[in-house]
Amino acid sequence: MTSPAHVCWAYCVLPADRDTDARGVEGVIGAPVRVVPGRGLSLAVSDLPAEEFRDDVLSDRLADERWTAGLAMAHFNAIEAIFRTGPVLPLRLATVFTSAERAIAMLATHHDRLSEALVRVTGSAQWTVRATASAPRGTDAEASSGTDYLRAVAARRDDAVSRHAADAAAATELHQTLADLSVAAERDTTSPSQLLSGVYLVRTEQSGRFQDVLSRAREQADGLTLDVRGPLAPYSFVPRLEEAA
Amino acid sequence: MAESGYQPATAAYGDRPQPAGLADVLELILDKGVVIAGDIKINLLEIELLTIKIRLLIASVDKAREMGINWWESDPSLSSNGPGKIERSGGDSNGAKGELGQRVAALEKQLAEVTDGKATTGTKGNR
Repeated sequence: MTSPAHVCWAYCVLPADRDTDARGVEGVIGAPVRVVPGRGLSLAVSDLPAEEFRDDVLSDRLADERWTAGLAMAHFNAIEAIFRTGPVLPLRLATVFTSAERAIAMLATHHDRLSEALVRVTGSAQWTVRATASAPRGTDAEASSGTDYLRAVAARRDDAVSRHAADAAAATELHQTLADLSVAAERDTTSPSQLLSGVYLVRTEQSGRFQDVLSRAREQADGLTLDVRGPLAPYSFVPRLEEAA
Repeated sequence: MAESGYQPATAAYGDRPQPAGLADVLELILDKGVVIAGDIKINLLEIELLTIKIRLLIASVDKAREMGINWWESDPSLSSNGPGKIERSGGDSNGAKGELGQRVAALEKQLAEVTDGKATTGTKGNR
């Protein structure tokens, strides 16, 4: 059995009828990106030297943090560059095939669910919004006695409790408002340090209003510090093929 | 290798939408995105370790912030990815920056005068 000279690194799925020019997009390891047309769906890929993907070579490379970070950023940047020209479904990092033909064949087995998902994300972008509690402003009243001191401590604790409740309510309200403006929304409630961690699929024509809500929230809810990312390709709004299989 | 997009993880704090930092990118492309089984398996252990490292770093920054240990944010010399933070901490650091800038400019002017003078003298002396 002969080993091929190249492997096929895949970035994202595109509608086949989309006229996508991937020229000028830089992929991983500096490789050019090309679009491989399939039946109904296309795939953006790079042909990479198979030599780079020999286990021993790759594990040496991956041990270098800067190289690994660069690989991840390059995968992301290529997806974002193609996303700026039209709808995509991003693929998870390191989706690699022995050939473009094999990649297209694999795509065909999931054709229906991928096509549906592409229709759903067309015209929309993903926004990530995180809210954490702003650091409390200190009110350091001088305690003239031990009793005063203990009273102040208790008052501060009560303040903190009510402030947290108010912040949590503000975060939930913000999420609801943002979700109402979105095609789809997901709130991650597993991180206790964050009052809000949400992803929103927002139509382009709604993104102005979406950002207005965030600006207003920054002005009004002064207990919250917001971290907003977007517009990004819809990483969180893709079908879970493995579970369906 | 394209590394131009690399940003330190602590760049994640700002008041405006911004491109994703490395921590966000790793989360998006490792935890999200379509999973299609490629026919070449790649061991992503190293990348996952990198993710954990970055998350720990972020968590420690978050924790410190929670406890009110965020003095570095108002110190321009310590917050390397400045603009957002300096802006957020209000007029103080900008004011300080402006004043410092003026002093530096004044000192540079003085220095230029002095060195010009010396240079002229030196040239004359040597010839």
